[in-house]
Amino acid sequence: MLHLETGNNIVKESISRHFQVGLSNAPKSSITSTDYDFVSYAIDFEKSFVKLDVKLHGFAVLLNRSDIKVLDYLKTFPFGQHIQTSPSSGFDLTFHIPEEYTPDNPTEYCEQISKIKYYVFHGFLQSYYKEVTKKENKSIPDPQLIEYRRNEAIYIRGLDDQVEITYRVLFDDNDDFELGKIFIQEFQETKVAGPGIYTFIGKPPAAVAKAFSRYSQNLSAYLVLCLREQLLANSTKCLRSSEMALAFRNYLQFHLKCSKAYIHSRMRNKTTDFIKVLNRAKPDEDKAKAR
Amino acid sequence: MRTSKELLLQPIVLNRTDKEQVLIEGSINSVRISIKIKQADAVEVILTQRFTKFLEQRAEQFAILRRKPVKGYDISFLITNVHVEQMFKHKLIEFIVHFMSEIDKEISSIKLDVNARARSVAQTFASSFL
Repeated sequence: MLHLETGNNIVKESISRHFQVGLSNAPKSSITSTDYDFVSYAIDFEKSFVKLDVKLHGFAVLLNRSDIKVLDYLKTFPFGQHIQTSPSSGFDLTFHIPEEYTPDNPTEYCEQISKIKYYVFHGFLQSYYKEVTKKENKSIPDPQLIEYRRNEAIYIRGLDDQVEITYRVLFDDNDDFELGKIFIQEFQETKVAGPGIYTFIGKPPAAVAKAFSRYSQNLSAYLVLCLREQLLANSTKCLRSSEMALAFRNYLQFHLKCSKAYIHSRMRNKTTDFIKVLNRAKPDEDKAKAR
Repeated sequence: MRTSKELLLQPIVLNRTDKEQVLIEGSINSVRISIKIKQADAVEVILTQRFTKFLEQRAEQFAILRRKPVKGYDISFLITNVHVEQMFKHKLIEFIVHFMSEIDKEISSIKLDVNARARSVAQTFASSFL
């Protein structure tokens, strides 16, 4: 089954090309791109460095929490040394990659910088993960609402034994809503070992209803992902959990649209079959003329 | 419409269940056959609406299909004297019977496939955490 790629390919290839050909041979035009979560990336090739500006849109609230230092986490990466103290105007993060800089592993560097959104999300979630695995003296951070799309949001809530991530998913129209309900219900009923998944159609779960009170209940569904200790046992599992958690909404919508395309192709094939059966009613001379 | 009683035959409604019906309205030069397709739940309603709309957009290729169904039904065929002269009668009847059996099967099959896809998508997502 197709998982969507987690990094931004445009950022990855632009930075990768810079490491291959150098700044003197790099294209002079700037590159701007935006992904499905409205996170914008702007790459400029300056005289002595490559500038990457990132506008995190709804995820910018994660950088602004005073009790959770996401920037400290980002600085542990090779690209961390290139983060500027003051981002460019209108952006949340700015990287200056000097011309003479060559990373030990250019492929890994490009891969990581293209997934900056995921690392910001993971850097924030880590503070919650730590409290789940702690045995005593827990100090769980306050919940956080991330309004990353119009009328869609993610609510992160830490508990003693798990981290709950609640998604509000909005469907475009009634058809999408009815088909989406099938997907949402299957997420609840899946018996595969993994995170605990609970789904709600229309109304949010009572425990987090206040956080979503300003949204209407039309054409919406809520899914709660419970990340327990088993999924947070080591740093690799933690990062994997954060990546999958952030990719959920786009994954669901992608497969919903694929289902609609499949329905359309089935209808097309059946229509052709019906026309073939109907054409048998025509006498042979008419068929010969048509040929 | 339907104003000259001398030209119209008695319409017949055939009920398989309360949700499946066929209305056959005859006249001196044509027959209109309207079909109400079984729709057990909201998903089948959507699939039926999409499928019938898809077919009606291609009504020219079918010749005997109406672009708009009769009120209260999902799809309508209009077979005129011209069609009966151009095509074999028994084959036209065969087509209508084939259509009625196949459309039910196809809608059920599409719904099952969507359910199977949803199950697979959910399982892949959940298992990716480990």
